[in-house]
Amino acid sequence: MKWIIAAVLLVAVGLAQRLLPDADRMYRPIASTGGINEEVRTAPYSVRVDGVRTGRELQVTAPSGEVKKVLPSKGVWVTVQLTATATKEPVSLQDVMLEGPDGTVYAAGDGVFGLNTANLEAGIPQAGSIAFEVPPGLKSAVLRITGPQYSSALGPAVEIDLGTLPAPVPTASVAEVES
Amino acid sequence: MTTRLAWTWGAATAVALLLPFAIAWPLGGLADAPDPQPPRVSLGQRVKGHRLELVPRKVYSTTRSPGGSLTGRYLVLNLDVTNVSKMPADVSDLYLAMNAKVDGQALDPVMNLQSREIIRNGEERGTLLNPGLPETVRIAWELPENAGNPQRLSVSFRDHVYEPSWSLLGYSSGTSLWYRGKIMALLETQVERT
Repeated sequence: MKWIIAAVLLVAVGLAQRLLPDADRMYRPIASTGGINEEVRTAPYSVRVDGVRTGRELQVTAPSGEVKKVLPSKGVWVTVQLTATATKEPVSLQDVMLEGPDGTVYAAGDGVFGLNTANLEAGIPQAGSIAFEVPPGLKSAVLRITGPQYSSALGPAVEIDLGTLPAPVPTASVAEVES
Repeated sequence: MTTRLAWTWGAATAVALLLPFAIAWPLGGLADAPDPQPPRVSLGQRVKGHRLELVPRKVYSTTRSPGGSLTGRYLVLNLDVTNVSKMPADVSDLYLAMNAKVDGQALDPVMNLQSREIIRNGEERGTLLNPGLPETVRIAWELPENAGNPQRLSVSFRDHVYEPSWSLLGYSSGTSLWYRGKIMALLETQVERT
């Protein structure tokens, strides 16, 4: 009898091992979730997405208001308008990504200093935009904000479902911030 | 079991275990297998890895710094690069997985680097390689002033593999990271002069 119990326990241990989530799932950041126009709060900051646009080229405006450059795209520019507020101490949004329906992740545009690069002051909402260049055909996306990749394990994160992306207009725009 | 029988069984087991090694060792069966030679590619040939797909397009030397106005001796490699993974990458990920030699002399990845940039419509466009967006990448090395005209460039490209992290000291969480993999291609080509 004891051999049967031992065998059953051994099988149960094996099954339990297989049910354990892998390290990527176990240590993924702990995300607060929401949708457009919802205030999504996490410990260091809160974020509200106010709108989403797409364009075939991106007009980048300097903090002074002058047009700095116009960037054509090999795909589509997605701009996310959002308002972010630091909770207790100055922070920046760190890693800001768009995730497509198949799990592909896109980083915010290189050399475009959107709200992702701003220093947010505690208790003072700051509005701005973040631009992403993505391949044509991306139908929907989720905005993901986490700490830096190598220190974000079990850290705070925000995931906002942007829903179906609107059809692209000729020119989307992003206003750079003082960083 | 008598002592003698136990010794007999022990000796028989030891022989059974050691015999394959005793045969394989003198025949070279325990030696490291030689690394297979990486495929050699020429300009225009596609190289597909797990993270990046690339096509080396042009190799040339110039006396004017690419993207700048300094004079000196520069060696430039232009490639078409597409990030075929599901995560953003950077031109530095490509560059650090390369090993370049000019006329048999290794180029130092830090000391010889002049620039590594994405180029669009002749302008520098940063270093971000988002998935699925084909880019033209320009990598430029600065050569010593007294170096002659470079004749031949040899570059190996390593693949990347995304796998659970590990550490001999046991500090790793096991979350997945990109690691450098095997050499996926070796480019050997003449250097054009401009």
